[in-house]
Amino acid sequence: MLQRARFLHDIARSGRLTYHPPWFSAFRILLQELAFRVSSPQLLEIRSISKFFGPTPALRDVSVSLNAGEVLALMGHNGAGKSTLVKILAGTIRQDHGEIRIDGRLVPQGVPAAQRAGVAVIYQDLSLFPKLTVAENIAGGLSGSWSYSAGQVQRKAAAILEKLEPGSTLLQRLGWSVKDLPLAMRQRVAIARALAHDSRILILDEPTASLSMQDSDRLLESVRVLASHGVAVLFVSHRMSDVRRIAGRYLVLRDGVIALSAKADEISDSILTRAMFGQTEEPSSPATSSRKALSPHNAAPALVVSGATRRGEFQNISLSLRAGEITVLTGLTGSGRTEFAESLAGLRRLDGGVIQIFGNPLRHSGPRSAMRAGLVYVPEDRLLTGLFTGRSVAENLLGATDHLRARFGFLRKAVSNPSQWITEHNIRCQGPKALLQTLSGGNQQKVLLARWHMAEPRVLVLDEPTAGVDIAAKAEIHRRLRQWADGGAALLVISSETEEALALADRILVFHAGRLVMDSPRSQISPEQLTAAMLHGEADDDDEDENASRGAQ
Amino acid sequence: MNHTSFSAPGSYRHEQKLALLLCIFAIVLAVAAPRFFAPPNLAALARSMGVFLIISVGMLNVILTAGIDISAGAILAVVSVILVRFANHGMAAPYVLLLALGTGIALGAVNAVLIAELRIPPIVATLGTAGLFRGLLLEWTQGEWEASIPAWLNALGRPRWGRLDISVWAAFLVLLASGWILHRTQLGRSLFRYGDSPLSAHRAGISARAVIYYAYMSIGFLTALGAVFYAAQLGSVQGNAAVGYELTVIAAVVLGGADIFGGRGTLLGTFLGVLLLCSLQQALTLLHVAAFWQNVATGAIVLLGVLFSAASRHAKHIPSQSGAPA
Repeated sequence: MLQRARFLHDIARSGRLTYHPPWFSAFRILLQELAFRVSSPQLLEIRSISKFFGPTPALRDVSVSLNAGEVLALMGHNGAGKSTLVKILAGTIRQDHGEIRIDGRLVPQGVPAAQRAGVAVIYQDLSLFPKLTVAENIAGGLSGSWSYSAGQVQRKAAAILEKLEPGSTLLQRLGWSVKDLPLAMRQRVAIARALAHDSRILILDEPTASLSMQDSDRLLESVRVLASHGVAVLFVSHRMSDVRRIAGRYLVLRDGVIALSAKADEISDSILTRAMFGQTEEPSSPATSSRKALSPHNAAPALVVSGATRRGEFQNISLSLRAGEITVLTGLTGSGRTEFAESLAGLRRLDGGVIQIFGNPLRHSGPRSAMRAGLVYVPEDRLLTGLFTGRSVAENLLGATDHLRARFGFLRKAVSNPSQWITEHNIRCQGPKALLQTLSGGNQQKVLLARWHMAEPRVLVLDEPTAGVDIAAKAEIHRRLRQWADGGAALLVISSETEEALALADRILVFHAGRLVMDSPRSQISPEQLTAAMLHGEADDDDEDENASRGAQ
Repeated sequence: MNHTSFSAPGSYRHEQKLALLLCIFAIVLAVAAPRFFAPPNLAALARSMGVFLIISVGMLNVILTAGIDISAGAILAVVSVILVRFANHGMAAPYVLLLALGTGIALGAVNAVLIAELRIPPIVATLGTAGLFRGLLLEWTQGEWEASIPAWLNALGRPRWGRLDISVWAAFLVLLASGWILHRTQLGRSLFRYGDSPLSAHRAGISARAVIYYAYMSIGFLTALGAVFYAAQLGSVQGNAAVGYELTVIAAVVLGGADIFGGRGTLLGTFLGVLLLCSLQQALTLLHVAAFWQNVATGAIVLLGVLFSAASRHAKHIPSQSGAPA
């Protein structure tokens, strides 16, 4: 407060012609402060918080306040200090300076104290207990009572769900293990849990990052409902479109300091972006600029799939990928797109159909044979299935291509120098020996991309390569993908974002309920057509032309 | 909704299968060795289960937290030798018992310190202390036997209140108390939560330290309690007592459906696991099967039982890539 007083005093001195003695303005500010506290205590007040990790500041002098019923979007690129702020609010780490007040009362450090004060956090990974039941997850951790009964927990969970979404399907699944639920439903469990604690301040960390459009719509709707009931929401997100739809105020962090704090209607997208990335390193618009005009005729088909079928997942898929082209495969979650991609990579066996790479039929006996044929698959869930987070960057870079360097199982000396790859792919880390888990999400993604680049793929299948990364990293990844395509690789990118599909693709495929309902060049597709195909599976009018052009190859 | 009324997390599907396995086993026995069901034999079966069950409950606590205690056998030996030595030197019964139980808790606390404070993985920490405890014990006893025990201790190894051993009654009480703690207290619930996901538990404000100290000190206490009956039943102890005992205990708990990666397990399952292993042992002895074949049969039944649950559980994890981590 003293700092603020001094600061305002300086302003008062510079701005006014009449001079007041220093104590005067300080006194006036003190009065204002007192009056303010009596009249409208803000629900949450964060006052000049700083946090250092070693010598590097993660947050410097950050002050924010939040009213009941308000939705504040917290934005910033990776490493800007968003998650540090979230962790401090949640009580998992302690700030070095500054204080947090809720209803004017100081909140002591610690998760239980924060929970008691009404703070609930929904983490990006949801932080649920996968083996425990839905009811346990929602109402099991309520503190305060020493004694505990399962029936009570069940009733409480049911009551909370009934309030949040009457007649919810989750009510029938109270006894299920959370791991058996689909992702979108797990997220609703996390929200219900937050409500169970009578939380008044809800922090959502990248809630829509891994959801399909439909599911994130529903999520945004329930956040809106919560806010209308007086819950203050701190919404951490990279997705500009979501933030635009829900937030009343924006707070942008850059390198640990507040770069922008403003009301939603006062600000344009470009100002927001500039605040996030600084004036110098505004990301160029993704890949579109460098796109080469490739006519379908001069490019040879790199991968041809005919009649691929897996019972219950997808039926009779026929398509072809051309070298030098980026094909985006989109569709709702559950439309079979991931299953199809995994079949291409040899992770699932086809029930019927043929896959040919450069004219040679691919006989799958697993991911390795696919890799030998020059097809590389980058999975959706990079942390679980793609990377070894406990190992070094260098090992992760080289890890999947060992057999390319090996003779009879013995590794030859590494052909390539990891640090060269690190610089080439612009991976921010402390060197090749740094553990992967110390890298930010975007940089982990770059490691994965670099690794597959090393395998020199001719056909590359990527499942949601930009899920959960910020705009700058996304642009970087898009640029990289375009480079590979220009280098002669055929790319199949799976994305649930229509914006990404339209921005990146030369050609767009849409899956609906296990069928291929659209296969057209990007230039012939409007956003409306794309959305319609995704939602309703309507093949558009160009369908006949499509078949004709496919037959002509 | 039919399986939601149970108090434990998850369903009791594994326990049902295990009970089915026991029924089949009982039918086979009724034909092959009807003597098995004679009251004296059943009493002997119960007698063999008491100590085993007490220590298994402790091991369940530890496995629920995704931990393991390899030092249980060593703690059992240390406590029983201390107990008998001090008793033979004429120390009064209540003090000896307090000393024994206190030693068990203290040794459990040593494990907890290594795991919670020094962050040593449980399997490494308890493997280390197992060697440490056993080595110090052998140094202290110089390989000598304590060949006799005082009368009061001997009495503890006898049947009482009906035909059942005191150890069986004690195991019954331990089951009741643990059931209450595991299902009716915040601490008990946090064992499941911490074992399921330590990060989520941290974020939910659960103290990892409290969970770990409770788990390892409880197995220390229960092992010491088991050691009292162990010494009382055997009538003599030595430094090499109960070598490898912990492995049988772990096998029983895992056979009982506890997830070795933590977060799932029930007292009922542990009870059934112990019952199955003990009655198998008993039946094979009754049928005059050679000891090494008994080992083979025990190993096979553990694998069989675990295949029931583990196969179905872990197969699910691999192909379902559409769901992100929770």
